Amino acid sequence: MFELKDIEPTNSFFTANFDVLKVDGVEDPMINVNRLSTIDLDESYTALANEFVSEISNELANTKIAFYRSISESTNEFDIQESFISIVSYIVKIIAKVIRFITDLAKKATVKLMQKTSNYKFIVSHEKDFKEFKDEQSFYFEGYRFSFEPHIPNADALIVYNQSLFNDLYVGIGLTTDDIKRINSNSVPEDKYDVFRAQVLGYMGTRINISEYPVELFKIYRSGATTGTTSKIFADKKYITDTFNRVKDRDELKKQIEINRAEATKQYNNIENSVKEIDKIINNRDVDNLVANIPGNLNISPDEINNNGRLLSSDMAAQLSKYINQKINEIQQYSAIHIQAFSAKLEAIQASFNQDLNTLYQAYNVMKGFSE
Amino acid sequence: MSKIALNLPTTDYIGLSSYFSYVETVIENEERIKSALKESIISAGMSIEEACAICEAAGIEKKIRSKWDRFKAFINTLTERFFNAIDKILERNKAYLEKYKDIILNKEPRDGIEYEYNGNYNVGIDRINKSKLPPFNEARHGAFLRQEGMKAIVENLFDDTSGFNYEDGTLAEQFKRYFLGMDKGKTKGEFKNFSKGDRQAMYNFCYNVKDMKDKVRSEINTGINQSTNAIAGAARKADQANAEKTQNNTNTNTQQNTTANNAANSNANNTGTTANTATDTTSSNADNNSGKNESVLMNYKLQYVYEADNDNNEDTKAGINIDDTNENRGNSATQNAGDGNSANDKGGNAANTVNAQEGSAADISNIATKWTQLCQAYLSGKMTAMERISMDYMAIIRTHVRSYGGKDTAGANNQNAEQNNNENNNTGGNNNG
Repeated sequence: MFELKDIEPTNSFFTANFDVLKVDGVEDPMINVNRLSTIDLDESYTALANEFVSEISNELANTKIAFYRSISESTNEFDIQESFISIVSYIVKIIAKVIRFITDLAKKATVKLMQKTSNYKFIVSHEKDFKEFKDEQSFYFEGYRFSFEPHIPNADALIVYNQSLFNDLYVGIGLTTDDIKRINSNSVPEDKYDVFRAQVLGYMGTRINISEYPVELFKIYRSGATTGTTSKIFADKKYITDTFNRVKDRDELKKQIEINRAEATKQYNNIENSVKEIDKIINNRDVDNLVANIPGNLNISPDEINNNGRLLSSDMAAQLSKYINQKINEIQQYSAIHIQAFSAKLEAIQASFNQDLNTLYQAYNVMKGFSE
Repeated sequence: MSKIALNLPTTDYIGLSSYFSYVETVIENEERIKSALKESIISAGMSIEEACAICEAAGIEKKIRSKWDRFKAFINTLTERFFNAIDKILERNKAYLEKYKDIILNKEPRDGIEYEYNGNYNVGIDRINKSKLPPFNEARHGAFLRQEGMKAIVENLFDDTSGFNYEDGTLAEQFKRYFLGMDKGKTKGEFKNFSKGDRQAMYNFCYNVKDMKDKVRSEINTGINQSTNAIAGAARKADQANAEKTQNNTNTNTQQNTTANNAANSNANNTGTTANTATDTTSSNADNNSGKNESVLMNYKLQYVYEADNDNNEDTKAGINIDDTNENRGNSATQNAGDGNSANDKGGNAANTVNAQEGSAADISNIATKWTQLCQAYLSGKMTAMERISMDYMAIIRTHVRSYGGKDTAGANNQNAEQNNNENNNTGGNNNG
C-alpha cells in the first residue's frame, strides 16, 4: 500500500516527497531510475537555407555583371545566342539547384525527425506508463503552441513568376501598347516582394517587409508567439495522451514535410520548364519567335535581324536585357523567400517534436514522483 | 499545481545571424551590380579598370562605415537577447542554488540518475573561458582574410593548441560544436560518477551565470568596438589610394591627348611615312571610335536596365530588425546600402573576392565583410553553447536535488498565479493541421 505524506490541498500525487513513495515498505526500484537525456541540439536549417540563398545571390550577381560587361564590350552587333545563352542557361541551373536543395533539406529534416534516438526509445518504451497518466497528475509548463497548416508555406504563390513569364513571352499578341509599356517599364509594384512574403505565409492582402520576416517566420508556426514569449500550457491526461501519440507516430509531421516539398517542387518544375523553353529558342537562334514575343519591340524593324539570328539593334538588346534582368531578380528573391519559409517550418517541426519529448519526460518524472 | 520548465532555447542566435548575413549579401550584390552597370555605361573610351576607379571614387570609407554600423547594431540586438535569457536563467536558478547548495555539493548522488548529452562540457567551458576575439588588425589578419573562404583566418585565430578543427559547413555551427566540446563525442553515465570537484565546477558555472554576460560584453568590446577604428582606417586608406589612382589616370589621359594633338599638328606639316602613320593612326582611332560609339549607344540603352534594376530591387536599405515589438522597428532603418563583395563560409564566389587588388575598395570591403562574418559566427555559436550548458547542468542538478526531496520554489510561487488563469486550463496542445 502506498504511503503518502504531505499531500497538498489539491491532492496532487506529484507533490509527494520522493522518499515516501514506497510499495509495502520497499522502495520501488523503478522510482530510482531517473532518466535524464537532453535533447540533441539540432543543426540550424535556417542557417543552411540562408547560406544557400546567399550563394545563389552571389552567383546570379556574378552572372549579371559578366553579362553587362559583355554588352559593354560589344560593338555594333549583338549576338543573341552568345550574350543571352549564358544568362538563361544559368537561370535553368539555378532552378535545378533550388529543387535539389529543397529536396535534400526535406530529406535531412525527415531523417532527423524519424530517428529512433535514445530519448525516443525511452519514451516509447514507457507507453503503458503514459496511458496511466491521471488528471490529478496534471501540471503546467511554459511552451509554445505549435501550429502547422499543411499548405504553408504556400508554394502556389510562386505561380506569380510563371504566369508573368508566360504572359510576357507567349501572349504578346494579345497585349495592348499600354500593357507592353507597363510590363517593360518601371511601374512594377515596388512592394511585390513584401506582398509575396505575406502570400507565402498565407496572409492575403497584406505585406511583410524583409526586416520583419524572421519574426513573422517564428510566429506563423507558433500561433503568433514571438521568441521568448511562451504560453502556459496545461498538461492533463488528454494532452499527455495526444503528445505521446504525436511522438510515437510522427507521421503527421512527416506528411507535412512531404506535402510542402512536393508542392514546391511542382512549382519550380513548372518554372524550370518555362525557362527551358526560352533557352531552347535562344539555342536554336529562333529569333523570329523570340523577337515577336518580346514586349516593346513592335517598333523594331525586322531588317535589324540578319539571317544568322544576330541582333543588329542595341535597342533590342537593351529591351531583352531589361526583361531578363527582371526575371533574374524575381527568381532569386522569390526562391529565397520561399526557401526561408520552408526551412523555418522544418525547424519549428523539430522544435515541436523536441518540446513534446521534453514534456513527456517531465510527465514521467511527475508520475514517478520526481516533481519540481 | 506546479509549473515545470522545459529545456527550451530562447533564441536561435545562429539562425538570426545567418539571416542578417543573407540581407547583407543582397545589399552588397545590389551595389556590385549597380557599379558594374555604371562601369559599363562610362567605359566607352577607357578600360574597365579605369572605369572601375571612377566608380569607386564615391566614398569608400562612408560605405564601409555604414556597413559596419549595421553589423554593430545587429550584434547589439542579438546580444541583448542573450543577456535577457541569462537574466531569466539567473532569476530562476539563483535562489534554488543557494537553498540547496549543501545537497548539491555535499550529498553523494543517488543511484540511477543517468544523463546523456552531446559533447564534453568540461572541455567546452574551458574553451569558452580561454578563447577571446582579438581586435581587427589589417597587418596581422589581412593576409588570412584575403584568402578564399574563412578557413585561413579561423585557423590563424584558433591554432592547433585550441583544439578547433575547421570543417566544411556553417561556421556558426562549427563554433557551437567547438564550445560544446562535441568533437569529444557524447558524454553519458551516472551522476554518481561526478566527483565533488566536478559538482563544484558545475555549481559554479550555473551560479555565476552572469559571468557569461561579462564575457560576451568583453569580447564585443575587443572584437568589434575596438576594431571599428582599424576598419575605418583601412577604408580611409583605400579612399586615398583610389583618389590618387583617379588623378593619375586623368593626368595620363590629358597628357596622351596633348601628345596626340601635337603629333597631329606636326604631321600636318610633314609628308611621307610620318603623315601616313598619322593618317593610319587617325583612321584606326576612327574605327575604334566607331565601334565604341555604338557601344556607347548600347551602354546608353543599358541605362534603362539600370533604372529598372534600381526600382525593382529589394528595399534592403532598412537592414534587418529582429525585435518583436513595433516600437523598435526603426532602429536599424537608417543605413544606406553597402558596397563591395560578399563572402560566405564556403569560400564565397564573388568575382572580385580573391582577385581584388590589395588596398582597393573591393579588397577592404571584402576583408571587413569577412571579419563581421567571423564575429557573428563566433558569438552566436558561443552564446548558444553557454545557454545550452547552463540549461543542461541545471537539469542534472535539479534531478539530484529532487532525489533528496528538494522542491522547486518557483513551482509554489506560481501556484497562485495559475489559479487566476482559468482560460488556459483546457486549451493546451499542438495543432498539426
